[in-house]
Amino acid sequence: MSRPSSSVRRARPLLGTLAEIRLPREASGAIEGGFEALERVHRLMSRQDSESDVARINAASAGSVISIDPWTMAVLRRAKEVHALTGGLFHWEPLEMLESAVHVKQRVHLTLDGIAKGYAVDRAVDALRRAGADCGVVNAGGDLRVFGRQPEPIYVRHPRSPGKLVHIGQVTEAAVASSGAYFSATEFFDPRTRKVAKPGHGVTVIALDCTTADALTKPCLLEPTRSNVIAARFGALAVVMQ
Amino acid sequence: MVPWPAFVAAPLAIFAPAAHAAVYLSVEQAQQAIFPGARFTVEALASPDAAHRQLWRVSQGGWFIVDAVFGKHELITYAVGLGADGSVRGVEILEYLESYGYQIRDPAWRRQFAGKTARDPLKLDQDIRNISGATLSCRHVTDGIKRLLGFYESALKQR
Repeated sequence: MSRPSSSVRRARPLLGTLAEIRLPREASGAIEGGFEALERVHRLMSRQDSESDVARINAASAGSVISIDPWTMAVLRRAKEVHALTGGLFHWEPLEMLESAVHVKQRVHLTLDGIAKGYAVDRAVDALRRAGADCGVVNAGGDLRVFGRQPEPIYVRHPRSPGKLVHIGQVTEAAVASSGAYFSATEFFDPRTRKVAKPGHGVTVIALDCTTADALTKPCLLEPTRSNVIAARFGALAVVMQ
Repeated sequence: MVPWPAFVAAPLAIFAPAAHAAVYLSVEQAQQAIFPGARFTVEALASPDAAHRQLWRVSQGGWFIVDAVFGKHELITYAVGLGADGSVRGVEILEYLESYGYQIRDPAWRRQFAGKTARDPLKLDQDIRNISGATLSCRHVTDGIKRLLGFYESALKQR
C-alpha cells in the first residue's frame, strides 16, 4: 500500500471535486464498486441535479411529503444530530423525518455540502471492503478515510498558504477532514448569527468515520477555542492551525 | 466510550512542494477502463483551439477523447468515452498536476511535464498523498466535458 507501484490509484470528477480511490494492486477489482457508491451519493444529494433528493426537497411546497432514498435519510438524521450536539453550529432546516420520507413543513434551502462528501467516502469504504479490499484510502477533495492496517501519512494544506503542506502525522482506521479560508475569497456562514465569517485559521478533524469528520469541520472552524470540546462529543479530535 | 482513532503524532513538518502530481491512468489504461476489449483508431483533429485534444474512434462504436483543462494552479488531463449515441460512457482523470509559484498557464513550463510525469519525477513531489483540506473544484473538468459534448454535436456526430 505504501509504495505507489504496489497500489492502484484512480480519480473521477464527482461530488463537485476530484474523488480518488487508492487500493493495493491485488484488490483493484474492487475499485469500481467504490466509485459506484460515490456516484450514488452524488446523484442523490447534488443540489444542481433536479432529480436528486435534495433538489426535490428544495422544490417542494410547504406541507409536502417527499419520499427519499435510505442513504439521504441517513445523512439527514446525522445532520440533525450534529446540529443538536453542536448547539446549532451545523446548519439544519425545518424538516420532519418520517419512515422513508420527509415532511417539508415550510419551503427550505437544504444543502448537504457540509456532510455528504464525508458520507460518500464512508459508503465507498463499505463497498470496497465488501468487494474484498482489506486496506486503502478514499479521498473526496480533501475529506479522506484510511481503512485497514496500513498506516498512512496525512498532509493538511496550510490555511493561509495552500501551496504549503503540513505533515500532521499518520493514521490507521481513521477519517480526516479539514476546513479553512484556504483562498482569500472563502467565506463561511454562521447559522447562529446568520452572518458571514472569514476565519484566518484552519481546522482539521480526525474521527472514526468521514461523515462525522466532514460534518464537524465547520462547527469547529466557527468555534476554534471550543473545537476539541465539540469534537469530543463525537469521539473525534480537532486540530486548529493558525 | 468511543475509542480514539489511532493517531501517531510526528514532529510538525511544513514544506512547500515545487509541484506535486498524481498519475492515475495511461491513455491505453483509460481506453480499456471505459471500453473494455475495444480497439482504437486515432483520428485527426483540425481544431486550432484544442491543441490538447486527442481523438480516437472506438471499434464498437463511439469516441474516446483525451483533453486537458487548466486552473489557476492545476493542470488536469482527463479522458471521456462517448457511446455511439453521444452519451457519456465514462470519465477518468489521467494526470493531475498542482503547482504554486509557477506559471501553470505558461506553455513552456507545462511542456516539461507533458506526458512524462510518470517516468520523470524530476521537480515533482509525487509521494505526497492523502492531502486533507481545500476543496479542489472539479468545475474545469465538468466545463471541459460540456465543451466536448458540444464538440461531439458540431463535429463528430456526422463523421
